[in-house]
Amino acid sequence: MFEPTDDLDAFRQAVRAFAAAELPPELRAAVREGRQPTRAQQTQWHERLAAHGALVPHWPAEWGGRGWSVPQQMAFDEELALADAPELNSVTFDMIGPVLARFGDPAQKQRFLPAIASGRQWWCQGYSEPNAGSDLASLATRAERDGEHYVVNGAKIWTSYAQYADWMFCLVRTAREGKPQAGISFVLIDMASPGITVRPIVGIHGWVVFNEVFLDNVRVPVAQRVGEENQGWTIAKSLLEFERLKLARIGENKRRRARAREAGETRRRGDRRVADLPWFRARFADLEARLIALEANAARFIARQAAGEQLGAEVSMLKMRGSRLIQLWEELIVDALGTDAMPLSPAWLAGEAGAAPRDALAGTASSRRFLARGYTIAGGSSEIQHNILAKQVLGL
Amino acid sequence: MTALTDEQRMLMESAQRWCERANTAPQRRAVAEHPTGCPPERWRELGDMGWLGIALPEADGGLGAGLLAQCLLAETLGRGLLMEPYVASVALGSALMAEVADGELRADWLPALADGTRRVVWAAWEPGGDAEPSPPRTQATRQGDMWRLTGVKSWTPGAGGADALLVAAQMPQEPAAIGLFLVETAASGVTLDSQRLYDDSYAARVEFSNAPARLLRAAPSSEMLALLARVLDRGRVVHGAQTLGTAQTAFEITRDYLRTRRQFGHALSDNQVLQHRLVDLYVELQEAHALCLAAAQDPQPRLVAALGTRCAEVARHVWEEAVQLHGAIGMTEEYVLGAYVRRLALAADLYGTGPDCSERLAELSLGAAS
Repeated sequence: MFEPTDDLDAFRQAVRAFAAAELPPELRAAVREGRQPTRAQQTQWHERLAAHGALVPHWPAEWGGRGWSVPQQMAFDEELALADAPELNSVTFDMIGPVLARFGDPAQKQRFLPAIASGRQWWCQGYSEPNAGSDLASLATRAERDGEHYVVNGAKIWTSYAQYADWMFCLVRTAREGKPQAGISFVLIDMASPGITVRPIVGIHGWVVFNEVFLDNVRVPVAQRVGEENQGWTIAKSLLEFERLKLARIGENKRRRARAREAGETRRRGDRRVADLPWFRARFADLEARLIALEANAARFIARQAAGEQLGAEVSMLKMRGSRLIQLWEELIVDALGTDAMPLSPAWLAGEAGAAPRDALAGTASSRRFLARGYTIAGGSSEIQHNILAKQVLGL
Repeated sequence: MTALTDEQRMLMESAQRWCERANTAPQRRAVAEHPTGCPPERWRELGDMGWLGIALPEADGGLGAGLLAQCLLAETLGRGLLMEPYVASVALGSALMAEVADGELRADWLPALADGTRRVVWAAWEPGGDAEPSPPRTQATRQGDMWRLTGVKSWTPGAGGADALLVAAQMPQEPAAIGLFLVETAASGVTLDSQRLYDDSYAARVEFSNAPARLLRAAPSSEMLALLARVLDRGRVVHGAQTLGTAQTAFEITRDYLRTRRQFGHALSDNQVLQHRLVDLYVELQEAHALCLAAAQDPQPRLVAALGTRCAEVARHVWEEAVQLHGAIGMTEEYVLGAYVRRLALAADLYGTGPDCSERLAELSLGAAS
């Protein structure tokens, strides 16, 4: 079992030692080299984290939570990111787990929470539809009652990692009367159910993150609805506060900072190191100053939460700034690599046997840079975050 | 960052009330028209409030309240657009004096600095020199018990009207030693070329020609430069706090204007494009403020360099957007915003420009460029 200490520096050292010993080398290499980790690689890592009590330390104690403080959890995530561990699937561990712990009935908790906490179950989130992106209230996938089942018909899109998922939590329309948000229910769907088709969507980055999920007369037991019928909107909105702090993505930013420095120190333009060129230095320092400011700002929210304060809409600013900063680092990395960043081997990217990159640092920089565009779109686009801050914080 | 204490809150409230009462636009104009930009009677009033000695030890007549309290005060004074050279005199001059003076000189000067009867600034910069403390070109020579200085220091905010200057000079026959001296401005051989700056504050180039000086401390070059850098960094944090206070007010003026001003039948702030631009300013200010308080609690070079980089960027972004979002009225001198715009534009370049701070941060992370 992994035991955190109050001394955060000592804790960070322990996390580094843990990552060195436990992070599977193939997974570390995949993350480091920008290849898409497989489900099997990730499950192996989840199981090791679970065995050390470090997969869901933020959950309620009853379901495997460990009572780590927010600074301990943040430090843990950060050190793993710096050790080239993959970002954990937040849909599974940060969203559906805590949502079930809070809103699920006893049978649902018993059925799902231990499975998720073991690291072996993977979830995806069926929210977006072809005509409902950020505006979820207009979603059209419908569920009609047939005895003790719902019959679900419709299509979901941009469903991240549906190809890996065992289960999907899904917003469906169960009523057409009243306000658009009022007729939505939150149901849990077994991805092995008859009538489900998953169509992977290859991204401009070459990874399969997104999928379309078609639901054709899928029968879902009513017992798999979470909360009351037509009250699913409340659940969908309830991203827990710790998860919102995580969205500053300090660790993911620091990982990219390290890569940018590595690119600057190892690449040359003529007889000069990139790290000695004025444009690189100015941009690196500009981004680093932003990162230091983001960290100070996140620390302020962490302290407020630790003091028992409710964090309001203001915390949206962390997601807005952290996600944009990741993109700026990726752009700097591509610029530092210059023409070295141009080749991209699809076979290498897909992890095919025998494929080898000519240049492990540069080989997938282009892919990562495209991948990073997703951070300002998913989970409430930056424009939505601006709207939230304008209305709820500035009162405009 | 923990919540403010009652004492800190009271300090900020009293500074805010003082600004509302004693630092209105006509009063600020009067300060700007004063030949030195720092009328002595008003300076003593600041001393009576306890603000000039806030970070000085209690044994020296100060409040011993530390850098964080000083930053909160400076932020409030920045919000109210204090014209007097607070950072130059208190956060740099008095702070350096407290660092190096001892014995009779200390007993003689520090209580007077704390109560505002005297004012000292640090002539820190070499002409055409680095933003960081660098080996001085001013030369010190010894004449019996007295020291004499000869040389030039670059633009020094608040020097006009100061009672004395702190000056680093090269020690004679000891190329690796720097002396820090106290030079009274009324002494023979001291020439101040004091100029009004574009934000209505004042700075002076200073020339010493065999000027009499008292030695406060002599030390090996690297040791003295490290000491000076430490004091300068702490002063920069206070300057950052004051600048961010000013930027916050400029932001609030702009936000309120957009809420009030109506065009095409609705308030300007109903336009989403304008809302988002206000949000960007708000978020940048919040982040920079968090960074400033972190640096106040731990003024290490990396945080100070990051703060300087962000403050310069944010100050510039705020004033440029404030003008643009107001439209033509934002470019007028008579409207309240104008004085804030001029102050922010200047503050962004003071005590190290944004690019200076950014290159320093690059050096800390990437090493010196070869």
